[in-house]
Amino acid sequence: MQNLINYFLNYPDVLKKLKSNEASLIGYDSIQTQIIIKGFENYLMMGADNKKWDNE
Amino acid sequence: MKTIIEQICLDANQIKNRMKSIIERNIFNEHLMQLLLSFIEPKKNFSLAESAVLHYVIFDGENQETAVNLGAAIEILTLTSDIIDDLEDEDNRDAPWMKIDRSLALSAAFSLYTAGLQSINSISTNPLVIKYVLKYIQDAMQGQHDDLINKPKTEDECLEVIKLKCGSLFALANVTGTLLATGEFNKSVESYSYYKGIFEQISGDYHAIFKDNTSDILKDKHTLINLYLKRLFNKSSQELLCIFSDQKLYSQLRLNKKEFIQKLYDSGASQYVSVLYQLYMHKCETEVENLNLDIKKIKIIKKHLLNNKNNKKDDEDAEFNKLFFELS
Repeated sequence: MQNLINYFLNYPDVLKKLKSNEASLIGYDSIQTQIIIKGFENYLMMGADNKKWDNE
Repeated sequence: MKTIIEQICLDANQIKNRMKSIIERNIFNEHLMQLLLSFIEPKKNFSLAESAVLHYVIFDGENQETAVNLGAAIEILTLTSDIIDDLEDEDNRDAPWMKIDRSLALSAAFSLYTAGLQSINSISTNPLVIKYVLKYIQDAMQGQHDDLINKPKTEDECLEVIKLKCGSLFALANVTGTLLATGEFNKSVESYSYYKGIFEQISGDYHAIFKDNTSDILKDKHTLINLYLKRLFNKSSQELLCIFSDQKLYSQLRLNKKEFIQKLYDSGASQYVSVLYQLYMHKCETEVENLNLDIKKIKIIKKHLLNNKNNKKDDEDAEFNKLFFELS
């Protein structure tokens, strides 16, 4: 996963292609791919125990 | 919203009082007993007891006394784990066991541990119960050992340590609760408990880096974030590692949270842990759906495990309460 995140940072266009199903991630099904995109883009999501994920 | 314990007419004080009863029943040394009772007194969170009770009820356990005894015994075992962790990591300085002589605290922790085991052993004659309790405690201890020696060098190794160290404690509560109700080991319950432990620990480790009292960063502990930064993918990773190696710089950065968050974002560390968090939450949810249970019960377990109070809507809360009330 570390390499994949670095790849997204260097090639942000890949995310657009993944979202529009023009590309796919080897080793991940479509649901997992969407979860990865969601996690990457919504890194400000809420964490557990009522803590905000990022900008508390 | 009421907690699970409150919904089945239990409250946190009942669990706490039962924990105290277990100590009074098993420890005859007056001084040691009072010391252990003082360890229990400040306890406010009983989430593992709650999880064990929930699983017992969901899987049709019928004896409320058994549920309370199980919850209390599990909280005693996990309190032992917390005490030993604090002594090993030298943090949580406000805890009562950190304010007394270290050897006394350690000795007391072992008494607490055996009292917890004695209590579990008295709850059921099914040999599987004590077998799995010992397995998960042993696994958690081995995970803690690897964490202490900073063993993980890769993401997979780090996730395995987290699974053992944290996931095993959730498995302890949930598998035992299920086992007591059904008499059988449930593999799905074990799997989603591990996933729950992993995503909770990922979240906990991430939030800990913003806290004043965390020692993981300064100790260069091999957490997922640290291992990611050590790959040195970019300049921000390098800068953050440099800051983390200097107590003064780290304190300064924590004071400027906006800048701290921006650096984590630029390095990709925030996105990295966010993706892992989401993936393990999804794995947990998928495994719950594999349970051979009524859809209403599955909904309750999912709500309990994946609960995110800030995202909840009132009508969802009401539905959850209604479902659980019907079942219990």
